[in-house]
Amino acid sequence: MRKTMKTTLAVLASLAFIPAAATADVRVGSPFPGTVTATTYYSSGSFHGAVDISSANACGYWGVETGAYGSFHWNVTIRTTGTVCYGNGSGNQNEVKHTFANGKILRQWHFLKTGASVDKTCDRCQIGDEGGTGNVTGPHTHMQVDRNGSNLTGWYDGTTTRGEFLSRGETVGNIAT
Amino acid sequence: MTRAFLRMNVLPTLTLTVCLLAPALASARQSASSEAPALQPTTCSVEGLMDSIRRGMKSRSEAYKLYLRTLLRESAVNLPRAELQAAFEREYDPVMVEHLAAALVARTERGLEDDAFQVVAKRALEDRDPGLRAATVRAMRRTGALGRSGEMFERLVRDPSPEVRMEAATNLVEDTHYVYGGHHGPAADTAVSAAAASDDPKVTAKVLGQLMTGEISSDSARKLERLLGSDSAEVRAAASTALGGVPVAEMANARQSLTGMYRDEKDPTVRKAILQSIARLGFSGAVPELQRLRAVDPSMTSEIDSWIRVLNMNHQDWSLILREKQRQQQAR
Ligand SMILES: [Zn+2]
Repeated sequence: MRKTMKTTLAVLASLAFIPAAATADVRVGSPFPGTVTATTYYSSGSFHGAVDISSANACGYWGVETGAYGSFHWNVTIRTTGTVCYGNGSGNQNEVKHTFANGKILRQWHFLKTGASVDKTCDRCQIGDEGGTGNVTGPHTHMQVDRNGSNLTGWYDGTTTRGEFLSRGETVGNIAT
Repeated sequence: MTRAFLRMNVLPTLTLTVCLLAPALASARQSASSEAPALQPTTCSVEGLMDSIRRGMKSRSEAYKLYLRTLLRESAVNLPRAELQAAFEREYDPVMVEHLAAALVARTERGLEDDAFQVVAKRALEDRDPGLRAATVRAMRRTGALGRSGEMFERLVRDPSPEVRMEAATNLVEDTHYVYGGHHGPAADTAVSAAAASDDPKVTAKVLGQLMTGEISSDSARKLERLLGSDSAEVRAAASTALGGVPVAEMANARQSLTGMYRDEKDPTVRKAILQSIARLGFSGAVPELQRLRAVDPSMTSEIDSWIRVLNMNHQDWSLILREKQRQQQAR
């Protein structure tokens, strides 16, 4: 009996990716399966203040999901309509964002425009394909939380590390709202 | 004890887990006597889900209930739609109705079928039992329901049952805040329209008293100004509060309406709400106006002086101003 109990609890423990109780935090998951290629600092040492997730040059292969768990209104800005995988210059990235009531903004950049790239209200829905629009060297999704123009790092710090592989929906961080 | 614990608390979780992780544990009950649970591919069952909810809802732990709700939302996308809908339509226990409805709504919110939501909306409007209408309204809370059917809310806030009307008001407040972040004009406009459409002062006051109005249209601003003339003091106070947060283009009109109304208003709570909104619309620029209003009602003099003191500190952020005002009130 005791042994079975242990097994059962081990199975339950493996469910740790599901929050034990809902809090004011909004959980943010990976928009597709990929590797974390940068967090607070690039490998060069310069400040990034966001999380980059890439699935190794699979441009246009994975659908990009909005990361936040729960229903949210998403605002999409399309600046590049074509298939761009290896960058087309600063300011040209496609963007999806949600603004929380406390002024924090969650943004995801660089995806390719598809029929799904429109403003919508949904819970983790498709917003485009993995791509490299904007100021990038390769296809990935840049996930950023900022407020009053400054990037916040606390939401993913301690949860996500460079080099880590994340499956779709696996926790990148939690935004206090 | 362990066995009872396993049956009562862990099994429901496992049953739901099966839906999430299929292939996963099959027949956890049998495995209680064997060495280790066998892994077998299974499909999710609506019946299993409902058992889990029934048992889980008996739990006294709020955290556990929230946990179950989260699991339910996650597993909803793996359930057979037709079976889920059939179970929802033949269910008459409010707790079960709420959760099955939430599972249907979750499917729409996750981008599966648009019409799963419509099935729930229809029942919220048409079920004969007010308790079940209220339960389905709760199931739509903190979802994109506002964008999918604003018209539904205008009907819900006029429901014959006060319970249903209040649940709808709570949805309007929470949806605009949590789903739309308080920054989406059309969502706030829908909330203003619904609040204005209700004949229940408690509903109108609840929605308007908490709504973020920073992105509303001029049309909505006019509706709020008209509500300043309501017979209900509660509604007048809430409309005054809502007018304090309007967009820049509406500020001058709002200020004028509020100032004009202050002179004839008799209710002290409404007067305080008006003063707060005048302060919010003008910051330190509102001081001369507040000084003029000092003569209107001597019983409000200390309230006005307190606003003048705080505004003269020149904070540039409304939440700081408000906090300072509250601090002064407590200090007195
Ligand atoms: Zn980046």
